[in-house]
Amino acid sequence: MNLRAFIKRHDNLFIVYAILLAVAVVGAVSSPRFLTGINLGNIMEQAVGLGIVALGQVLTILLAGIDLSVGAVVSMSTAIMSLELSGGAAGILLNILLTLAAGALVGVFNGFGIVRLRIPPFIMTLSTMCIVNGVALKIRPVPGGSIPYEFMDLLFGRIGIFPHAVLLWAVAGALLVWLLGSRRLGRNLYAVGGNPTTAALSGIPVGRVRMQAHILCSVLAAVGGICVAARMGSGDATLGETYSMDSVTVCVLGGVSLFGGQGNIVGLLASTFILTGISNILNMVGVSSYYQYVFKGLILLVTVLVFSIKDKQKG
Amino acid sequence: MEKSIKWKDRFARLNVPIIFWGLLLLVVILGFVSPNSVKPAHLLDFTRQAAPMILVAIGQTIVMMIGGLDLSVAAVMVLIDVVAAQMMMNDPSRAVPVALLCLCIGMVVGLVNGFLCAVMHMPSFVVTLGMSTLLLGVTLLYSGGSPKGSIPDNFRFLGTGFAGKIPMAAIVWLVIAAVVILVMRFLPIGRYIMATGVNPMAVYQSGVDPVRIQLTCYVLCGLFAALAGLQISAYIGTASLQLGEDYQTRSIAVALLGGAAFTGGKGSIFGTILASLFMVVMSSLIAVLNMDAGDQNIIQGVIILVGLLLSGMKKDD
Repeated sequence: MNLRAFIKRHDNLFIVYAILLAVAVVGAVSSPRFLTGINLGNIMEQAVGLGIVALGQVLTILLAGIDLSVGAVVSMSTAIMSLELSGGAAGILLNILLTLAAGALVGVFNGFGIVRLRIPPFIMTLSTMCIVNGVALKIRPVPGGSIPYEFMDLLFGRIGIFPHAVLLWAVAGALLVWLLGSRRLGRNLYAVGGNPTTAALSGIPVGRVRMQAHILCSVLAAVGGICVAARMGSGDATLGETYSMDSVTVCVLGGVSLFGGQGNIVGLLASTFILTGISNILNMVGVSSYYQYVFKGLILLVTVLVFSIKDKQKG
Repeated sequence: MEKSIKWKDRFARLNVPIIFWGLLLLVVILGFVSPNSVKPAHLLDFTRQAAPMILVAIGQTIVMMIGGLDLSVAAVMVLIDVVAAQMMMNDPSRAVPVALLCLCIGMVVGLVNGFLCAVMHMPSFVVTLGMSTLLLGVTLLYSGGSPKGSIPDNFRFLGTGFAGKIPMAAIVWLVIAAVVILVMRFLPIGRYIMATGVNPMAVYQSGVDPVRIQLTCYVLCGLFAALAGLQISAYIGTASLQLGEDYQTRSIAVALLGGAAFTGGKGSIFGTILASLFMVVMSSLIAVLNMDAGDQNIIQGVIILVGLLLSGMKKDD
């Protein structure tokens, strides 16, 4: 395949990586500390949680759905992780299992409402968000608790500039590339997202695909929550609030269509770093952090505008 | 037997939205739990508390009728509240010009949303989400993170005053809602909005530009969000950065409870008003039950879910 055709086929990806490059250049120019190993490690540390949550979110968006409850799952995960159930570093294993199980349960609940009760994903997951936030507040009414230092070190100790948790992110990403690229679930996901009626007529178990996607999404949100908890060192039932909309933003910037069936996860890596990078740069330069919202909003609007103009030209 | 069928018929013709029964049920439960809360004065107070939600949800319903969605309404409300307080600076003579300016800001935001959604064919979810983030940033920068100023008493009358026993806030939304309902029912634009939600192509072929209808709806939504913001300013009297959060997704939930659907072509202003009152009574019920924050969230989620199921969400996909 020649280069031009390749670029044309993946132009969304080129756009988002170009933006990332621009953000990096702006960062490097505006602060000499931006490109230091320590700072890049910090950015990765901040990005991991959002990155993993977005990997789950992408599954629901590919189905033309959405999951607004991921933020609440992140909050609940930090709450569960901060419970001191049994002493010792090994005791944290119980917390992890509980967190993952709770995540899976939320996924089943979402899936049940969407598949069986036929409630639109937006409003189903919105209700779930309320409920899960409530559960998180029951577990940890005020921020507190603690996470064993050994566990924090396990996830956020560094090899060179890389926090260990990046490995977790990479494994989750690889798993999704494999699932979406070469497994039946991936193929079915794109088919259902593209056109559920056609998919159903061709014998794809639409309900089961939706259910699986939502369970996987919530479990990944729980994994993201575990990372956030390990970074913070304590539990906070409101910590995850921003993750729902931010993960959707990451997916959209990464070139995944909200109409379903289009996009892949390669762009998510860049868009996660764009969002994290912006606030990092503003911090380094000492500009009011309020600008991060302006930039986030503008980048989202302009990028999607470019996507839509481009699609129009393609016809 | 015959008589009962007749009654049923007559009843069906009334076409009472299901959410009405939900509202009635909540009021009855509230009456059992806390008899004081259902005294006339307190019931009238619900109509005041519901004012911002009713106004913003009317706008949301109009946008949802054309199959859109507006996530920026809450950000508009906060921006308007901050702008109103900082510019009025407790000066009664500034109340009217600043209020007009605020309405213009709302309409401009709506116009930009509408342009990006209707003309550029961008998904409304992303457009309004981006707009919401952008406006939050603008609000924070404008206020420096700690908004100042306050609302003069003449304007506050609209939020806190009474005409006889009736709260002014209730009169405000009653008048506005009456106008909207009449327009939707008797002017052609009402039918065009519904038709655009169902099939824009058909509207186009009947000689009306659906893009213009969509633009109008987004502008109206921005306008109603600004009205809701002003109503909140008039009630609390100062600027606050925290008050809007609830309205972003909840205005959508209210529109859905009132009979709107994500697919467009559905929705009822009357249903939306009832659903807003439903939300307010629900909050009040939760408050008198004296539960902790966790339980409150859980109950809210469950009630919204049950309300949606009862409202016959089943038919839409």
